[in-house]
Amino acid sequence: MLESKDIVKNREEQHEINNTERTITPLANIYETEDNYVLTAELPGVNKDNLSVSLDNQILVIEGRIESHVMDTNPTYSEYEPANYYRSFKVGNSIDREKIHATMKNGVLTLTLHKAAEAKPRKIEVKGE
Amino acid sequence: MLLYKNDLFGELNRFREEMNRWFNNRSSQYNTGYGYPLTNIYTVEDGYRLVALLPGVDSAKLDIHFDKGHLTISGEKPSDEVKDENYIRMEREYGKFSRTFYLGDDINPDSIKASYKDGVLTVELQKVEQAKPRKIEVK
Repeated sequence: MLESKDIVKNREEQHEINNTERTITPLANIYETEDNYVLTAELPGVNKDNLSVSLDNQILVIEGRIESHVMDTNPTYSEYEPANYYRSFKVGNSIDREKIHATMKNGVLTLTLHKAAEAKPRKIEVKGE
Repeated sequence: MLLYKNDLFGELNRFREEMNRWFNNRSSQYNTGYGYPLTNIYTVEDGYRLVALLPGVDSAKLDIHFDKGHLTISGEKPSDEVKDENYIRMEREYGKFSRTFYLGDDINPDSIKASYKDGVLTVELQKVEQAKPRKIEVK
């Protein structure tokens, strides 16, 4: 049973993730198929247990926590600074909220967002006389 | 001594990266001017650990080669196989890559171990026995 103060605490943590922590914006591709929008995003160092995808009020949020072995400090030579991932996308009403499918493989997230019926291309039949 | 090969513009890139960090707190990991994949090197007790960000690569198609102190990572990152006109957004990069790092002549080639997990390649390299730091006892 969650008490109200826990909920407040969770909100604060959420706030911290979104606003103060340095995060990395994962690179993403989005492409369209007949029935779906497919989003692929690169989150190296994140496994599926440390990944969260949510859709709230037309905002799709992707958050990933990297594993500790990637979080090593004091590199002798450095080209990147390990950090957690955060990115949000605004999605319109053309997504069927109940049909979102997510898979994670080799640090790449694939999100399949099913198009709502009204967003799908329709073939309009032309009737003859 | 640890040297990075082809680091002609390294200082400039580091400066640029630092500026990017100033201007954009949520900076991307990429487009920093370095080669692909982005790599950090850590000094560990017996040698070095090299950690490279390589999301979306089939580990069977990763080629790791060591010769005369030079470690080369090469492979190919496959594309989504989607027609260009179907893309709404395209930020990820694809194609062949290769990078070489010079890690010194004192690495034991037989000690090198590589693993690939969650899009991260880790290569562990140990120094040869005589190159390791030793404690000398005073009698």
